[in-house]
Amino acid sequence: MEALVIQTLNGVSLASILILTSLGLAVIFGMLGVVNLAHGELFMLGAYAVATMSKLGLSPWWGLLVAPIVVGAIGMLIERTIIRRLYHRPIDTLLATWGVSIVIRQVVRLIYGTGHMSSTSLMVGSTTVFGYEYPTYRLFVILVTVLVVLLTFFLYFKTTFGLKIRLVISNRSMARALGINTSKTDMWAFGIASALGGLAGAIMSPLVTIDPEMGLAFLAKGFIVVIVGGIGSLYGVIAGGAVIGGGEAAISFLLRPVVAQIIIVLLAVVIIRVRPKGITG
Amino acid sequence: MLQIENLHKRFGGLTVMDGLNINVAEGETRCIIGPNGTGKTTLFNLITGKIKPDSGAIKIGGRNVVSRRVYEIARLGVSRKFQSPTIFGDLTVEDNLIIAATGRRNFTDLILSRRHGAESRIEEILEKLEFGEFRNDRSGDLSHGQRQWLEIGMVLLNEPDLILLDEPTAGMTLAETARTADLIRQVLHGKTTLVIEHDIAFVRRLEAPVTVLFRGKVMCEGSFEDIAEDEQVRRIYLGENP
Amino acid sequence: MINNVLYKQPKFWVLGILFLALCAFPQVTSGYQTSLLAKFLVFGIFALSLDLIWGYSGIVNFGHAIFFGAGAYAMGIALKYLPFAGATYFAVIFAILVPMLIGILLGYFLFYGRVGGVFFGVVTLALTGVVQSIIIISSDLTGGMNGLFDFAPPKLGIPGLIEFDLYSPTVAYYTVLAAAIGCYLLARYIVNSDFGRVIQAIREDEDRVEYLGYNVPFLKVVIFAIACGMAGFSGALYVPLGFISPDLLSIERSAVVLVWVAVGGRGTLIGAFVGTLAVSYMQTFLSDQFVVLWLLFIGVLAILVILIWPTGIVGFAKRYSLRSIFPFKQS
Ligand SMILES: Nc1ncnc2c1ncn2[C@@H]1O[C@H](COP(=O)(O)OP(=O)(O)OP(=O)(O)O)[C@@H](O)[C@H]1O
Ligand SMILES: [Mg+2]
Repeated sequence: MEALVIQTLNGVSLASILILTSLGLAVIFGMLGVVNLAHGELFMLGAYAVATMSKLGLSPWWGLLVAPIVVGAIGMLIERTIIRRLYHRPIDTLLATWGVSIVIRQVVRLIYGTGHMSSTSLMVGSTTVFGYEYPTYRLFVILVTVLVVLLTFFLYFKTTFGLKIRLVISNRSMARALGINTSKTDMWAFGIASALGGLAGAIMSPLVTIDPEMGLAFLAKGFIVVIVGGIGSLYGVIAGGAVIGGGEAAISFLLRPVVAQIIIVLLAVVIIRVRPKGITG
Repeated sequence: MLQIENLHKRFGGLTVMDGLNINVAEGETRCIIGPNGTGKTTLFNLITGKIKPDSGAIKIGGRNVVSRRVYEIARLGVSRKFQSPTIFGDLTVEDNLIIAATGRRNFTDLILSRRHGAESRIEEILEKLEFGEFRNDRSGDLSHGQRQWLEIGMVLLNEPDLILLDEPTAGMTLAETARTADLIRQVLHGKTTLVIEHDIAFVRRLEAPVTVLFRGKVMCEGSFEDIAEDEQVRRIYLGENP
Repeated sequence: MINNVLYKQPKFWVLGILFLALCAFPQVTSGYQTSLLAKFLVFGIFALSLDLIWGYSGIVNFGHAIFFGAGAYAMGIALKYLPFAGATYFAVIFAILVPMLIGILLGYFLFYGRVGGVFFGVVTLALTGVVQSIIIISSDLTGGMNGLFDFAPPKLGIPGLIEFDLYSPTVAYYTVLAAAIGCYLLARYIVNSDFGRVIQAIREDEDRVEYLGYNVPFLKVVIFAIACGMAGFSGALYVPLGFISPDLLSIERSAVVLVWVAVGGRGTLIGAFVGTLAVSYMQTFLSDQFVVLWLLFIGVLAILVILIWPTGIVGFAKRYSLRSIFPFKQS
């Protein structure tokens, strides 16, 4: 019974992490048709923001605030300088953002060195859930994910900005004809998606090794979540995150984590074959 | 040749095909008209297997093709021209025609570039379309009308038994339209063809039986003159384009 | 007829001189330079295989190093477990077939699942990590993190009669040169065939191609398998010139090969070699201590080439009156 509860919580928390990291990817793809291969590095920058704060002697909680702002600004810069020149050339965007990811990784190496940064825990201790002890911070991650997802949905479906975004997605030229500055919406959408990536990295920082390579693993998983869930849809991210996260937790329980990760990616490939439009499509 | 029986298709809440029945005999040219958004292009998407109907049958040469994939239906001899010219703009005019001509070859023929006499048919088309001097040009650089013709040429080279033309004169000048009508009458003579058109002058010139599509059903069928007389048709359709 | 061509076409002269220069290279330079160029030509074949899918079929592969690495490992493992003379030939075939099989499997699942364009690139990226993990955890077979080294030296020639040790720089160089020319001609033949035409049409609009009666996923699997086999072959050729380690399949190697092709000029075939040699020789000027800076440079180069120079060196050369030097028709 204990194993079951703990495993379920592990599944939920893994799924939350995946949803948090994939949300930004899905927003950028849904809105701009852009697959941002630098998203993993934005995630990494979020984690470095937290580590830098504690290195400066500040509370790591500041990192949680700084990360989305700084990373969002970097995202907007990337959109202005590179992405916007490449709309309509999706494969080239892929390569350019791939270049951006390498640049960010190397710049971080130059500034912080190649080794890993020590991560600071934001919360210690455990909480009793259904009579079993579970790390408080992991519960916090689940809570934050729920909040961020709700906020994103609110932004998307209930605000004027969200309305503009939905209009641009469904018909870009019509949106322009209606006087929407689509270039500006693009920039903000990219910025917000990047900020989501930065926030995800910041929140994950106490749970992972912070090094320049960390973005890659999350990027790969994030995309698998997006593809398995159904490309470009917010609901797809949640479904994909649940399936992949739950699956990974379940398989890790039985096998080595490395093997579990391998199985998950291969399983994702099979799911794509059977359901090309994702599980929600 | 083509029998469509009780075809139904909905997109969400929008019913585009509502029990459609059409019969096209071997060798017949049939014109399909109907107001914008009636589902004419959707009908072609259904025949070619791009989308699947909710119910009903589409029989080509007696075989129901509803569950077949796009390329399998193409291999049964269905060839389609799209509403806006859809050619391979980065390739030369000749390459476009070669690709169309070898569409039903097997892989060995492709890798060995065995064309089984397609060359002469390609030359013939190049001549008919007066494309000789452009044969090595990038097809994307052709004018709009020329691209429409190139695509018609590709359709012909694909050795079709059933030809589907979606607005072959869209965006053409009057002279180009007239020439296209002659071209179609001339080269498609004796081939089973479905033509979607908006241009009434063109439809008249084609001298083919007309089917009027409205709200997912056939509203009426007959010669151009009969259709032009029909009160209902005048109201819903011809009235818009006097 | 050949004579006529030689007299009338200056580009054949250029090609002839280039060929002689390449043949004479080991005679006039050091063994070090010879193996260096051999290595770069191997990378050129690797890049060529990527150009076949990326430049001609629009399939972008962010994990192309998987197939290079798989080829190298297959070669090493075969050399280790096939104890008889002449095993090198079997090892090379094995090194082509294994990546090909991986490519077919991947292609079957993704192309038939209609995962094309950018998402194919993304899945291949994700797979890089997976394949690397597989190699690391199956250390009994692959040597794990330490790499694979205890295999018999690869030899060419006729066993027992006349044998050439591929560890000799000159032997390796001439083998690689012949392989590079062979692969180039094969790729040229493929893209000039009707199959090559269809592949390029697929790059532009794969739906349209399907309406003409082509089984698009099948054709994509075929070209992908050919490219994977060629990448594996280049991996096999790399074995006598470098070390077999999980590093061969790294994300960086996949990134660098994309940059080689982009710099040389996508969809030109010869550009794969031009770009590889240009960028690789540039790298030799930077000492190993500057790995971080070098990768930074590769990243910047990727961005810049895409943004301001999408046709690459060969495209540029073609546009500006150097047409006669690059005797190859634009795709
Ligand atoms: N894949 C689809 N999903 C949802 N709705 C669709 C789809 N394809 C077509 N429609 C809708 O079906 C209706 C019929 O479209 P269709 O393109 O077949 O019309 P049409 O008769 O060809 O019009 P036109 O004369 O403008 O070419 C339109 O309202 C269109 O928006
Ligand atoms: Mg239409």
